Amino acid sequence: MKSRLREFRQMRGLSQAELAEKLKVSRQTVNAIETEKYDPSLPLAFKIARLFRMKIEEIFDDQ
Amino acid sequence: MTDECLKHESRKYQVRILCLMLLYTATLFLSIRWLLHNPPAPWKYPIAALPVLPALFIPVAVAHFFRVMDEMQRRIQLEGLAFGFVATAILTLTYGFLGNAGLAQPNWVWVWPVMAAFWVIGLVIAHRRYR
Repeated sequence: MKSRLREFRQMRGLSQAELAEKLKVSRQTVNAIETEKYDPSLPLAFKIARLFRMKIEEIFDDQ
Repeated sequence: MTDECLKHESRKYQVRILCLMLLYTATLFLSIRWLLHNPPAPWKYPIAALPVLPALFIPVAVAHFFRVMDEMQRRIQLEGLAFGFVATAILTLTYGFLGNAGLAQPNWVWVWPVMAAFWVIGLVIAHRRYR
């Protein structure tokens, strides 16, 4: 799944560790989502979208 | 779970597993020693099975650690376990078939260490995949 998480995180000036802290996941998980090695669950995707005040499909794309 | 929490929980998990393994080793040593130096008695079976008691708490510690991980770490653990389960199944099945051809059969006690070794190999592979 395509992920624009890194782009939006950097736009907000957050480090991976800071984002991980806000999402209550490990930094490794944030990194794996950004590098598209791991697709987040729906609850985690919602959490990310809510944090960035965006829609899930603006951050993740399965096409 | 954040990195700090994960480190803390990992440390707790390692200490618990280490204590249980020490207890397991001690009871195993005592039970083998008792069985070697005492005449057969009606309670020899409970004594022989004594090391299972501390081992029973290992799944409890593992389950607790699974519950506190985040979703990707749980996925990594699950992939490691799946690898360990399948690899052990194939190895023991192969060994069983070779036994039909006369190959000496190992003690059942070796099944768990083999599974643990495959579990660790599976964890290393899964960790690399998501790194």
